[in-house]
Amino acid sequence: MTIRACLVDELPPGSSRIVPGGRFGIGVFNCDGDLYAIANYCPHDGAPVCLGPVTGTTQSDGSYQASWIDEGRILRCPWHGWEFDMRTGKSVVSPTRRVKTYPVRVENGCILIDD
Amino acid sequence: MTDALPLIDCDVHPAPRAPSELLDYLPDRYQGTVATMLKNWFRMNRGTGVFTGFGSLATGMRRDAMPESGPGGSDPALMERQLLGQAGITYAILIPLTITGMANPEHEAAMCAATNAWMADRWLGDYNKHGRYRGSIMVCPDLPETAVEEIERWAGHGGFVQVMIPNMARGSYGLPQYLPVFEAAARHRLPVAVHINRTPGMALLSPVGFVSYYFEFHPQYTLYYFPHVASLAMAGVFAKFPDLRFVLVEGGVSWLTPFMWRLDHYWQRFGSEVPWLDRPPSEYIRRQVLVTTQPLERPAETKRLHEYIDWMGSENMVMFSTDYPHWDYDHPEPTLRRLPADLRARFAYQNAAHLYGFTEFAGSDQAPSTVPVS
Repeated sequence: MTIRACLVDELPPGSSRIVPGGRFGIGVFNCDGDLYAIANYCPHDGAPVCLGPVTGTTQSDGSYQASWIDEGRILRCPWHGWEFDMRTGKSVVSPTRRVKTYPVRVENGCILIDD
Repeated sequence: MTDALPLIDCDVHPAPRAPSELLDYLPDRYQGTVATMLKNWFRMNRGTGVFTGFGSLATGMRRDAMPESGPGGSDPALMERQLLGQAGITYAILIPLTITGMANPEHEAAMCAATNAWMADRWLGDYNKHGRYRGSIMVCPDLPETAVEEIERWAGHGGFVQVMIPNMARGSYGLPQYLPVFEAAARHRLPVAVHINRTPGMALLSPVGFVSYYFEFHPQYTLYYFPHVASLAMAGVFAKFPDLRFVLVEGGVSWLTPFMWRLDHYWQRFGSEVPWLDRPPSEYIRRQVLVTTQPLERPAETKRLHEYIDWMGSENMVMFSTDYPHWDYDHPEPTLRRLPADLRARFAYQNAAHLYGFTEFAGSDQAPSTVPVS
């Protein structure tokens, strides 16, 4: 089933919205022109994960040293701060845990999600 | 779904909407220093502006619990919707965190008095038309006479159901200087709650020094309770006030069992050092100490947690809590699901109903003992 999310023009880079779909709604994010669709359900405790901030994360450069990476690609859950890579849905810290992601595409200026 | 069970949430944090809410209750001499401190506190709790303290990467608050303005926990409509509505909490025990253990006891006591008056007017007054909030009388234990006056001021109010002291004072709570506070609480049949409220770094003195990371700090909350529990037991505070109850909030559950084993281990050998005890320390603790669930330990195998709870040796020592609106909030359903099925009702509301005198639940041992899990 295909869900019509909104027009591309209605979702400029840096913005997001939640549309009906799945059991919990689906968050659609525009990250610098890349679109991601993510189930609004955190696999940890069921929080509305798509209400969290889009941010980056850290990468170890050896003990006591770290750099900031993936700015704009990490979704952080609003309740307990779990981090998910929006490109894969995988938890940054424990990649066996993941949020459900959906294929998303644009046709005739409209954002479509395949559920 | 958790609405099959009543829920008494023993750790909920209301906050003032703006510094002026508390400043109105403070004597003039504190307007300068306290105004500055409150403004910093607001910056921290809004997650905006410049706050130079070291905090959680996830911010101190559930993001979706932030109102349009003011910090999390400051908007009564939002709290009603999220806590009493979505989370299904029947009664909330309110614990304002407007103070931590402070450098200056007079300042701390003034903040306690202001907070209590503000709570009585707002969260136990205007905002409590539904009658589902109960408060904590905050006192500064390092000014015992002032603390006793504060307890006397509010004990008859009805909305306050416990006395609250910070996790950090000048010494451990078995020291004789704190006895008047506990005597007053016992006289008014009010439990004494202790809540952890610190930031990491130099503010957390562990037994071996200071912590560096927030992640390192948070699991060590429990460390605050070991010395207080040992001190209260050995000094005979439990023995002196057998009807007094202590509630240790936000320290988790499972640590207490092995600590009781350790406290009892040399009872025969050292009992004569504390001859006012007529039974091993764990028996006092089992009778008089309660812990709240959040942040509930989540071992990979839940049955291991159940073993620790079983080994506590009492079903009366655990009460449910969420810590709303903070980032480490425990939602009822995934929390209750991890508790032993035959104890869910007891932990969800029966122990708290008994402790805080919610008489409508009296004789409710027949209440459903399991929570349907969605």
